[in-house]
Amino acid sequence: MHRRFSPLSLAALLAIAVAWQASEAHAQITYTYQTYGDRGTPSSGATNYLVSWPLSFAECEANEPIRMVITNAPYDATGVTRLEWDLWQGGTGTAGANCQTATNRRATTSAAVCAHRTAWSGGQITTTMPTLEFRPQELFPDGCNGTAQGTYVFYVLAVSAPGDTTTDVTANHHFAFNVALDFEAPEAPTVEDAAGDRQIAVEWTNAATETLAGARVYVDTSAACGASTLLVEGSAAPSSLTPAATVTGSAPTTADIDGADLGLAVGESAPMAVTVLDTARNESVLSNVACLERVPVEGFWDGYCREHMLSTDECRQRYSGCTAMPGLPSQRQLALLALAALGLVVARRRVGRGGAR
Amino acid sequence: MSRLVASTAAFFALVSLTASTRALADDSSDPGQQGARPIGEWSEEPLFVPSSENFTVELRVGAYRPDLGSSFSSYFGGDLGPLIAIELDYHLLQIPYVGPLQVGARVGWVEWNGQATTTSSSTNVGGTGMSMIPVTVLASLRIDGLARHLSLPLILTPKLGLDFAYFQTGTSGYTQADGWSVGLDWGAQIALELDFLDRRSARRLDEEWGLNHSEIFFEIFGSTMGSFSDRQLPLGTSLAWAAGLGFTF
Repeated sequence: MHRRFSPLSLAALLAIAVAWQASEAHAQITYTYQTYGDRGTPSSGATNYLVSWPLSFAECEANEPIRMVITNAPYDATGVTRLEWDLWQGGTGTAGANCQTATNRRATTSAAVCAHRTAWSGGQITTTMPTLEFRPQELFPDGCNGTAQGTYVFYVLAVSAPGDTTTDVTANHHFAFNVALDFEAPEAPTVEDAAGDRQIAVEWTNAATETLAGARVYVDTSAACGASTLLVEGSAAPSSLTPAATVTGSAPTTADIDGADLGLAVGESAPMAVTVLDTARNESVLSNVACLERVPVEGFWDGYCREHMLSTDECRQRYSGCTAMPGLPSQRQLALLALAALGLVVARRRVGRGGAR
Repeated sequence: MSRLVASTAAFFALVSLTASTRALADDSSDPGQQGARPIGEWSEEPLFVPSSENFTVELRVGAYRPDLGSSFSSYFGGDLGPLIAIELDYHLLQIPYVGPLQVGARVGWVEWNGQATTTSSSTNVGGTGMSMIPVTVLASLRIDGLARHLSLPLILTPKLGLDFAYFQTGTSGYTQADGWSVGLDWGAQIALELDFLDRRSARRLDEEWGLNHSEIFFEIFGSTMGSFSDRQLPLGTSLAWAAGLGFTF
């Protein structure tokens, strides 16, 4: 038997559909770190447990904000169900307490409980793609001195009542991220004496077992080799010296230094030392102090010119910058080429008409 | 430099013009080449009609040492480069039973590196190097008659051209000199056409990609660059070689 829908049942269905629409599962919130200092962007677009850049003690103290671009924020344009961001710390380690769960936010005795970060105010979710900022001293209210180095998990919840400890938060209304604190400097490298003319290759051996992010070479041009008061092995890099070279990379072992840029004349030398930086930009103490020397260097060109009894300047004047066809004007070259090509085209067409192919 | 670029551009424009003219002539004068024809009364199997051959391209790698005297050997030792190059030739005239007369151009890159020296007691004072970008405009006769008419998959190609090369040399990280040299270029190439290995695949390559033939080749060549003027660095060589892959299309 065929049964017709009554207007009432249709209205009920419509209401259910509207309600479904309203409560439809929101897409998972994701985030992308923005650049932080010279760090670039770490692995981006992840959802949970994306490890941020490790922060050094100096960076923690500087309190520069970590910025994130949020996508799929549960933004309600009508304002009926408008939510607010709420920040919780889920304990240490990537397996810290899950702050989506109300009981973890409520618990106060376990070591893995969530702690509400009242110092941070993300505010109301007002746009669909907001940028959120987290300052280290908001994340770590005990201060950098009072916080042990390690990795900390933070949960950002989209809730109607910040600080709420009674309602579980659904997976698509939260995201989590890690902040690592690394307060230890890497071990200093060992550098060797280096010599060269304009480009002097400085080489060193790393002692640090952790992943590095770069290295700095300091040269004290005010002192002779072995007599520097600024560069002392095992001491901090002198703030009065600007690094002669800074290199990046996970295991840097060499840097090129221009002897002329340092102001060294050929035959002069200067003491130098190297420091390495870890991923948190902690700088090691100075390496041993070696000697950087600018010496006269010869290459192929010098040898070739000497072989032809010319000075390098005479040699350069003779051979450098030669025009491809000296004495032949460019218009004449073009005309000759055009005529040659035209002749070939005509010849080709004649052969083609003759059925040679 | 700008003159050379302008000349090269004009040359390629004219080659393109001849190519389009030739394509029009082929379309109008040879209607029998259009479409597939039945083999016989009982078969609808289309007869393979190869696409027209207009170009040859060569991907080359080889050894090159300019005749720059003992200083070249003392700094760069046995460094042979390698010279990496690409050559494109246009089939200008088809000589019956012999093969096409080609005009084309080749551009390459080669670099030699060695250790710099010093009169001091220091070691590891950096490197010295020289790089060269040779450009060649050339004519060649691609003798593929053996492969087309005698089923012997060998192609012989004598070449003659004009070399232009830009060089740059430096030591310890800075450039000491750069410049141009010009000269004549000659070459003799022998190629093994690969179609005989799998004729069906070769035909499919033509039907799907328009590649008529593929080949491996070996070439000896030489250049007189710099020998016509004492103001040009003698970048030429009495003998060099290159090998690689070639395709006609």
